[in-house]
Amino acid sequence: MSRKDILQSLESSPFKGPALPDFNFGVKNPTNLLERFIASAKASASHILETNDFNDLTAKYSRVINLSNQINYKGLFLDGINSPFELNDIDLLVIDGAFGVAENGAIWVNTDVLPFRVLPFIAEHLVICIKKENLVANMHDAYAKIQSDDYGFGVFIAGPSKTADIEQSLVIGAQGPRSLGILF
Amino acid sequence: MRVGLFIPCYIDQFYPEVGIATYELLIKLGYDVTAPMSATCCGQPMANSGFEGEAKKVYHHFVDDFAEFDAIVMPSGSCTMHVKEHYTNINQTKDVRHVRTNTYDLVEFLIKHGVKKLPKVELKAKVALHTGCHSLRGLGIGHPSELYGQPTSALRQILNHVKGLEFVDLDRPDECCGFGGTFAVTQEAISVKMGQDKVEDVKRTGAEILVSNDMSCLMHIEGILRKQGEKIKIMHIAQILSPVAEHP
Amino acid sequence: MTNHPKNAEEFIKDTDRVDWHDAALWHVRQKRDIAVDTVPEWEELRNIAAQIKAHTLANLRSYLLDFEQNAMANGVEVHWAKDAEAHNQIVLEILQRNNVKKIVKSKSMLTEECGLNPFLEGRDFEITDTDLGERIIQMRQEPPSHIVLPAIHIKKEEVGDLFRKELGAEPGNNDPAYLTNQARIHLREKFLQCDAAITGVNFGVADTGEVVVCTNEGNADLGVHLAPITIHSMGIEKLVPRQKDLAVFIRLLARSATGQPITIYTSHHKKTAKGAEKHIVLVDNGRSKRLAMEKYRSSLQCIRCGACMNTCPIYRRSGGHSYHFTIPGPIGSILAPATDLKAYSDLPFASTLCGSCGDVCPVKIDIPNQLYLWRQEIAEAGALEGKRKSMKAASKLLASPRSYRNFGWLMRLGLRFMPNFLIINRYNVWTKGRDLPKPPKQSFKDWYKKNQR
Repeated sequence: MSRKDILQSLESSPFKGPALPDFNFGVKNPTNLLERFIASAKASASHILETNDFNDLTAKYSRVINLSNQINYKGLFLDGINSPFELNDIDLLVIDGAFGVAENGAIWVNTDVLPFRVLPFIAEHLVICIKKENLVANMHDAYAKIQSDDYGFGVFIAGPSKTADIEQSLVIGAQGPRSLGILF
Repeated sequence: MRVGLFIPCYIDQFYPEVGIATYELLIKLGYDVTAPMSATCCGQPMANSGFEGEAKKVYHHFVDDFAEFDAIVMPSGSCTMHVKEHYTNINQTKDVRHVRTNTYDLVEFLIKHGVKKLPKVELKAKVALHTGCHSLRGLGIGHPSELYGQPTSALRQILNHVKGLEFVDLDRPDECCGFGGTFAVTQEAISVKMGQDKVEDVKRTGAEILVSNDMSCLMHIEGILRKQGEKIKIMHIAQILSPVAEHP
Repeated sequence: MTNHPKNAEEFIKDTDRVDWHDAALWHVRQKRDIAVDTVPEWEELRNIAAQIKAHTLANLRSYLLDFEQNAMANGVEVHWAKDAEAHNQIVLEILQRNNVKKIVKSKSMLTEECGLNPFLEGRDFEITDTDLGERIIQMRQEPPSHIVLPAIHIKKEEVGDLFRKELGAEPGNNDPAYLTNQARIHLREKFLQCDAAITGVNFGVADTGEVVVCTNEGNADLGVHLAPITIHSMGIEKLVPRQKDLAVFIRLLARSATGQPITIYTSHHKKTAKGAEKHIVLVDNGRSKRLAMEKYRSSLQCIRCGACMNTCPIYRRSGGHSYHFTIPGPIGSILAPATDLKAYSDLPFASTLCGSCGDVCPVKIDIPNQLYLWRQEIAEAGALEGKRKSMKAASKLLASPRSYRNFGWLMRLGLRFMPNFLIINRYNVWTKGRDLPKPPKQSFKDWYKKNQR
C-alpha cells in the first residue's frame, strides 16, 4: 500500500533538478602515501606495529586468532564455532586489510574472507595487516578500487572503537576493539 | 559619480555622528553625495518578523528615494543585504533592479572604489574588529572562518591605512553578537547572553575600541558595555576614517 | 505552550552549564575548521554534494526503484512506509514473525522521528539504544538534544549518578573512561542476548542496493552481525545514485560532524549474511510532500552531520531541547514547520539569520534563507496576528517621511526608540540586559539640513 502511495506522491509533482555531476578528485601520481597514511592512522589512535610489537602483543594475550595470510603465527582456531555469539572472548584478532587510505588512515576490510562478519568488531584488540604497496591517496581512489570488489559486507576501519559521548572526552575502546594495530 | 547616501533609521535617530562621518568621508573621496530627506528605512525589521507583505510600501518608498543615483551607499551591511537580497516581492522594474544592483555597504563600496584614495588619518588605539554577519556572509565582505581557507577581514584591509592602530584578535571573530533585529527583543535572554559573550571576548583582548561596519551590532554591544560600566568604546569604521565630533 | 524563547531563558539561567555547553560545541566547530582546511577541494566537494543530492531528489522515484531492485538482488527484503505508523507496523510484523524479544538499536534519528521506542516498549519488547550517548538519554527517558552528540547537555557527574543507579557503578567515580567502560560491559551483555538489530542509514546507494552506516563506537556493527534479524530504517531522501558518490559524502560527513577525517567504522551492508535475514524499510513520513514545496525542497539534502548545530550561536546557548522538535538547531527549525506550522511557528525565529549554518552545511542547504521564508509563511498563516497591527503601523510610519520625522523626534525625546519600534509596548525588554543609547540633540537629518554641501 505504502509503496504505491509513495511512488504516486513522488510522481504527482515532478520538478527538474541539475544533471548528475561528474567529478574526478582521484590523485594520479600520489607521493608520500606511506608517510601520510601513518600520520592519519596515528591521529586517530591506531598503532603502527613493528614485528617486535606484534610479538609482544601475541605474547601478552592468551586467546589470539590469526586469520591473516600475510603473517606467520599460529593462534587458536575457530573450528567448531557455529554462532557469532560464541566469539565474545577473543583477546586479539589478526586479519588482512585490502588497502589503506592515506587521507584518513582507514583500511578497507572485506569480511567475506572471514568466517564471521562480527569478528573485527567483537575482538578486544585488532591487528590489521596491509601491504605498503596497497595504499591509495583518498576516498575517490578508494571507491575506484572497491568498485571491482564483490563483497557482502565491507567496512572502512579507521582506528580503535571510540566515543566522546560523555562531556566530549575522548575515550578509546567504546564498544568494539580497544586498540587497532597496523602491521605492514 | 552621484552617490545616494542612506542613513538607516536608528543611525539617523541615535548615532547621527556615524551618518555625518560617512557623509564627510564620501565627500572627501570626491563623490557627489546626497542624502534624501525623505528616506526612512529599508523595511528589514518588518520582513525579518515575517511581514514582508507589509514592508512592500517601505520598499517602494526606498526605491523612489534612491533610483536616481549611480550608487547607493549606507553605513550598514545588514540594510544593504536586505535591499539586495529581499526586495524580491515587489515588481522588478528597471528602478528596482537598478537599486538592488547598485546598493553598497560603506566598506563594500570603499573596497570596490576607494581604498587607495582614503584620507590620511591617525589614531593611536588598540582596536578589535567586528564584521556584521550580514556583511560577512551575506555580502561576502571578507572571508568567513566557516569556508575553506584563511579567514580575512575587509575592515582590517581598510583600517591598515590608518596610522597608529594596533589590532587585537578576538577568539571568535565571526561569532554573531546577538542583535538580530527583532531577535534582540523576542529572544531577549539569548540575545543578551550572546552580547555578553562578545563583550567578554573583546575584554580579553584588552581592546580600547571595538570597530564595526554595522551600527546595529554596535548599538546592542554598547548597551551591554554600558550596563556593565565598561569603558571600552564602540566606533563605526566611518568614524575612524573621517573623525567628526561625537553627538553633534 | 512550549516555545523556544521561554525554553532558552530557562536553559540560560544556569550560566556555568550554558558556558560549558557553548564551549564544548564551539570546540567541535573548531575541530571541523581544522579538518576542512586539510581538503583544498572542500568548497568544490560541497558544490558537487549539493548537486548530487538535488539531482537525486528530482529523480527520486526512479532511483528508489533502482535501489529496491538492487537490494532485493542482494537478498534483502525491501519495505515501504508512507508514514511513521506504517514504519512501526512493518517493524513490529518483522519482529513478531521472528519471535523477537530483545532488540539492539544503533543511532537513528528516523526511528526517533517515528517514535519507534515507545511503540515497541508498549508492546513488551526490550529495545536497547547502544550508542553510548543514546543509552544515557534512554536511561534518563529524554530525547536526544543533538543529532550527533545526543547527550551533549549532560555533565559527567550526572552520568555517574545515573550509572550508579542503573548499572551499579562505583560511587564518586565520574571519570569518562571508567563510565564508558561500565556502559561497554552493560551493552556487551545486551548485544550477546539480542534477537534483532535495528540501525539508521547514512546513505543508500541506488546502483548497488547497499546501505552505509557510519559510527565511531562500532555498536551498529556488533548488533547487525550478531543478530539473526537486521532492520535498516532509511528515509527515502538518503539515496545517492552511484557508489562512487559515497566518496564525496564520506569525505564531507565526519569532517563536518566532529572534525574527524572519517568515522572509525564506515560499514557497507550489501548482501544478507548466510543464515540471517535483512530488511530495509524506506520511509516517507512527509518527505515526498516536502519535496513538492519548491522553496524548502533542499532541506531534504541534509546528511545529518550536525555542523549547523555546533556553529549556531543560539543552539549553543539554548540547548537542543529548547527546540522541542526531533531535530534541533537550524536544520530542525526549517524542517519542523513543514510538519506542523502552528506548533513550530517559534522555531524559524530562533535565529539572528547570521548565516553561519549555511556556510558550514556540507550540502549547501540555504538554511538562513529558508528560515526567512518560513517566517513569511508563518505570518501569512496568521500565527502572528498579535504583531500584524504594529507591523502595519510601522510600515505606514516608515513609508511616510513626515510622520517618520515626527516620530523620530518623539522617540529621541522619550528614549524609547528601539523597543517601541520593534514591538510596541514591551519596551522595557531591551533594557533588562542593555542600556539604551544616549539620545543625541539632533538627528542626522537635522544636521544635514544645515550642513549639506
